[in-house]
Amino acid sequence: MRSRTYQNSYASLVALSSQPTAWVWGAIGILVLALMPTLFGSFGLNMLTAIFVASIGVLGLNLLSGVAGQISLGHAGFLLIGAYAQAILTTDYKVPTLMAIFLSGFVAAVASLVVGIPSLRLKGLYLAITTLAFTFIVRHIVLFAEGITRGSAGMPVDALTIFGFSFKGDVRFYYAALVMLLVFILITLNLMRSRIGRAWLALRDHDIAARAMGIDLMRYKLLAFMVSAFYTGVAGAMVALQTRFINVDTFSILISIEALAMVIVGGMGRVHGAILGTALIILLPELLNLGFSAAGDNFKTLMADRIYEVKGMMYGIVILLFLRLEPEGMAGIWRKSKRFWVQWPLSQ
Amino acid sequence: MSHKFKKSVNRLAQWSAITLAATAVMSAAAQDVGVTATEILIGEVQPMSGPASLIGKAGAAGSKLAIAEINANGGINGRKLRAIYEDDGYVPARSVSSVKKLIDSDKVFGLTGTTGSSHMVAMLPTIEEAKIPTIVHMAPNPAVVSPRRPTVFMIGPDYDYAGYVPIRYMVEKMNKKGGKYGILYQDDDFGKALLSGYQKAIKEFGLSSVAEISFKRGAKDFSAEVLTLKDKGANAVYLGTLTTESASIMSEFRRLNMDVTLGTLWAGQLPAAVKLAAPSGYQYLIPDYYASNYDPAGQALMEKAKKFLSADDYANFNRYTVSGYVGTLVFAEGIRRCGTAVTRVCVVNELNKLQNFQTGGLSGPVSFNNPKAQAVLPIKLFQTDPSSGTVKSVTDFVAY
Repeated sequence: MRSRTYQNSYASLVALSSQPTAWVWGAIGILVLALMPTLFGSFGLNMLTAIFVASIGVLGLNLLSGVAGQISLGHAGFLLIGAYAQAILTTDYKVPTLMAIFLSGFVAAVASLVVGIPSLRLKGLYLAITTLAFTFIVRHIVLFAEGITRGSAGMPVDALTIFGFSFKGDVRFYYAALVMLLVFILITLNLMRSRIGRAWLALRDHDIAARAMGIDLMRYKLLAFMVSAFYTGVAGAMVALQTRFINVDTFSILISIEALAMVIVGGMGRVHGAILGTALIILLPELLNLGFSAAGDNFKTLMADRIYEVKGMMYGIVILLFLRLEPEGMAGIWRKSKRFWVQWPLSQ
Repeated sequence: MSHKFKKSVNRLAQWSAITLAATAVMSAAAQDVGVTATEILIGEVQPMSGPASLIGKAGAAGSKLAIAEINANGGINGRKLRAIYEDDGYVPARSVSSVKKLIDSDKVFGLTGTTGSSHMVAMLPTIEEAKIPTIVHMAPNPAVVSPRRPTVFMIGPDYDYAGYVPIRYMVEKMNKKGGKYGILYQDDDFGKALLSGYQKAIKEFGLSSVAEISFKRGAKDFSAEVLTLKDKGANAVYLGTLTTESASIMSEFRRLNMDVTLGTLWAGQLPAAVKLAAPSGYQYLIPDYYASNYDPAGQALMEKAKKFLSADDYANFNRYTVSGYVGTLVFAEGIRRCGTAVTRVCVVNELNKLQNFQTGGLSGPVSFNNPKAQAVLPIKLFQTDPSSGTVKSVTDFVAY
């Protein structure tokens, strides 16, 4: 039976994975994802791409809320900033699209200081309301700065092009989003085992104790906001590149709440949890659709147009049940399943 | 039976079999995605949930009504119509995902519902790539047909007509030639189109425009704007606003006890909008290219709706139901003209040739045989009756 808790060197303690099999399974997973375009059509790939893109932003929110313990309801604002930065930089300033993606993340990171600085003095609900207000402010700025953002009319977005190779089209953009997600997963895993990641964990668990241990609270809180906003800004740029058209309607307050639900359902502070949570929340409406279809036409007739409200309620109920029955989220289910498999036949 | 006769019968049977097989193969070849021997599948993306669900559910109800009626009359050349409705929640990113699902996963033959105007712009690349026949009937945005998209057809005039027609009526029929005019408009393309129509009327009739005030989308408080209009002495005002904004502006007018003649755009004749604005007591003018619920044609459609729709769908009835009904009828006409060999290419060709298609008084005749493939429908003017919470028509459908 394997043990994952005992390590006998510092290198193995900070390794990305202590088990070579994890790399093998990772490679198999990537291979399977790379083969998806042969199995799915445009809609399926679009859904998967949406999961990849949203996962980047949720990884960022997970770093802030799950790892550093700072609540945020303002990530729709960072997503919006990233999307508009991408659209403006590529359409009006002809910045190369790949470079614009990272610049968009940078713009969102700078904007995050607006909520990052108040976060030094605010906690819990007060911080949540401040960050929520940030989204309202950003949406209004976009509507008012019509000369730059085209106001409520929205903006077209140039397709992703790298060294003359265009990623226009569902299959090509699917691969671009997959690679981008893998890059951000690696960055996150590395961040979490670095001094910064451990400082964030200390900050989350007990900020006064963390300060007593020499962790600069101001620096690490601001850093958490900036890194998280950078991820979300990049996700916003990818949303813009996927949809190829943006306006403020895409970035409602609900997105921030959904993103938080993804983190919680996935399992706070866990990288694979963030991705699993994102996948579940994005696929849930489709799974409900399948359920309703399986229930037959009579059921649909019975529900008539209330079906849309019922779907919304079911969506909430599934999340509630999930939290009630598995508070550790999908990462917890994953962990228990893996332990059961590893310890079999002695597993309980 | 002689041997010769037997041989002739056999030969005839052989030729019949070959002809039948060839016909079957040819008709199969002449069918397109979403078309079977018994059914044609169409799709709609509508805001069925969220704040714009009032529009989406009504539009879908209109489409359901047209389909139920067509199918009750035997379908189109022997094939029944069936529709799949996708909810986009009025979010452009979800509109794109929904249209991809309809095209790629559900494999619909055509689209008859395309949600809001910016949502349609977001869906256009996917629609163009799939070369799928599409009818846009709910949010006529000029960007949809400029430049011309070969498979996209739009029903409805540009928004500038909505700004022009009420002002013209105020001058010609309400003795407001010497009035002081003003406009409140949303500061975007939609609002600017209304402003352009308003300015056209001001220039054409040599009127005095004392205030042209823009506001940002999402604004809730219009007290400063209304006060400005009062200070300038405006007594004929065009409201380039949507349902709730119009009602709150009118209540502000009433609070300041202003005697103004008001006009707005087509969303103003939604029953919810009329009821919201009723307490202010203003009888405002509403231009529309569809019949209202209180017109004979609208009433007749409501009778049909009672017969064919569920109680929930019937409860959603408004002008967008008429829009959905007309849009689906027009698409069905394109299919009907193709006979049994229904292909996307054929339907697009037939829609391109469509001229003066009659909708039974629900709108003016629909024609797509113009460079933009846009049916610029004539406009009817309505006036609200706040005491009964209804609207009555004050003109017939007139082309401007």
